[in-house]
Amino acid sequence: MIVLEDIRKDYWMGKEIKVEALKGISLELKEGGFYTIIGPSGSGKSTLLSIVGCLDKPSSGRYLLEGKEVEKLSDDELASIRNERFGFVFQVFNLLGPLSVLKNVELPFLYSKTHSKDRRKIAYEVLKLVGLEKRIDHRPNELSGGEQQRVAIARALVNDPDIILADEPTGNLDTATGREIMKIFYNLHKEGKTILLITHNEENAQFAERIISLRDGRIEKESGKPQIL
Amino acid sequence: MTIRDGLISAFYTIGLYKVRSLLTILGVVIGVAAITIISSLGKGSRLAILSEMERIGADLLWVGVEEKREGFGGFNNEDIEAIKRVSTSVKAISLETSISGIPFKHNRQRARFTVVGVDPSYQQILRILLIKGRFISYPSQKEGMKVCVLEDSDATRRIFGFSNPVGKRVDIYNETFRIIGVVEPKRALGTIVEGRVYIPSSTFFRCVAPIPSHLLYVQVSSLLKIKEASLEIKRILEFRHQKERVSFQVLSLVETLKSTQRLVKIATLVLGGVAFISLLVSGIGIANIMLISVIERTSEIGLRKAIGARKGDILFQFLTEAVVLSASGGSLGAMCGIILSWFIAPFFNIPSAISFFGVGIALFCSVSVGLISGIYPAYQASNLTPIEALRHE
Repeated sequence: MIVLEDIRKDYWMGKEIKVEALKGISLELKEGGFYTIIGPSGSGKSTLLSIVGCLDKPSSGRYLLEGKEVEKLSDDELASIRNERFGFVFQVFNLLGPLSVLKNVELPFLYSKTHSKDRRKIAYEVLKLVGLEKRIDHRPNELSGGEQQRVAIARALVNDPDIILADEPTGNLDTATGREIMKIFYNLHKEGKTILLITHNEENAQFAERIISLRDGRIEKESGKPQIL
Repeated sequence: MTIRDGLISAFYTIGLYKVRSLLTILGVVIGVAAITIISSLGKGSRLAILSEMERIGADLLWVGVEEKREGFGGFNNEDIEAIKRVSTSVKAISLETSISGIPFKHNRQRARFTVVGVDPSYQQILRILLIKGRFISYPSQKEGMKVCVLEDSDATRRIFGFSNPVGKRVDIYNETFRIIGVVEPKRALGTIVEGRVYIPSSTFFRCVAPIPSHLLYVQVSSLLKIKEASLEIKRILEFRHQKERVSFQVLSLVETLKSTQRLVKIATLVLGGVAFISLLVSGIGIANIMLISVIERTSEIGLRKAIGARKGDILFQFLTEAVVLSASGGSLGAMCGIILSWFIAPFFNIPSAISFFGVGIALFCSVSVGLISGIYPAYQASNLTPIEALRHE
């Protein structure tokens, strides 16, 4: 469903120094697949994830999403693709502090066509899915890190996207909690969601069907792994 | 993002930063309150002048000397008789002469009054309302009787309390007068300091002070004859006072009040303009705080974009915030202004009136100021690229 052909991304630090974050990535992500990206810092993992998630545009190369050429879409069209097709989970959770758990999960509905009567119900159902239905009125800072990340996952799921993109979702969590979170992603994969997940943790990478290792903006190795669960 | 969502989010955010929001809108509050007060006081004084105009009527002429000349001996009864005889357009005429600070005594109560000498037709010409008793009659004028008519005021109420003054005796300047009536005060802008008492003009010249009268009030027989009457009166008086080398001025009081009203209007506009500038300045404060807010909330903007907010959604969110901020300042200011002008008006002796036009303009301006000051920060926010905004710390 996602095809990347020779994707390059350059950044300019000031006017003089050009940083080549991605140096020609070609990749195919199949529907329902579970992919992890591993690699050292600065290898281009986050940049690749941002491009796949339509948060950033490549400097060159082709990106086909279900056959559509993404680079030809307008900013507003990209925004509605992010709203409908993708769910994002970040390392720092990115929850809005002043809003309750339920309001945070309802947030993507602000930018979609979902009728306001259904919003609360769907948000509640999704929170139930991640086991937080009893904390809906709490503020994010009243929750543990693992709980906050579960709220973020619920927010990513609320618009029923096909693809979940996660940038080191376990990076700020202890090992046991990290495993809990990885299990949630694994279950989502079992339900048919496509998952692309960045991790530093070798053990967590093993949850995926395929592991993409990046080094210096290039794919060093792409390998299938036997599932451990 | 729907308008409802935008409003809910805006009120929520403003509520989060209560102190900051309050300080930001303070300028708007003051500006709108000032415009409300100024326009309301302006409306009040114009209403006061209007009711004065309605009371005295358009058929009233005021006759005075253009410059006071040493040689002018004042108007006299012969002048009045001559005008009555010659002019066909004059219905009634009365001279007025007054002196203030005259000792006034009833039993042991003492006060200082303004004593006004007038003719019997004075009441009719100036449409003075009688409360009790009667006004000065022709016989009492002719015989120079020591009778007086009190103006109902704080000063007279202090002396007589709730008792009826008609029939009582008072000492005015060492002479004893009999009170024959009480009339409504002549309304005017400004506070009435002293009580006024009317006595026949003949008595005034004989018993109080032989000072010349410089003022005549004339009622014309028809509004169409105002111009004709003015010219006739001027000609007769100039002929009669030839030797004193004075020129006379005949004015319609309504015209004079109309020009006062124009002055009030101009003053209102100028003061309102100054208040409007303070409203504009407050817009800079809003723009500033919105810019800070955009910087503080960059990662929030990034997140909103990541979950599907379009440029227009972010623009709308921040514009709504700025407008809600300034509009709440405007409403608060309008409320303060209405309450304050209600309290202030009595100090200027004008009726409390609220200029809803002024309030409307002020509110409209406050919303526009919010909109304009919100545009730049909101545009900045909406143009952030999602990935840069997300990575902002």
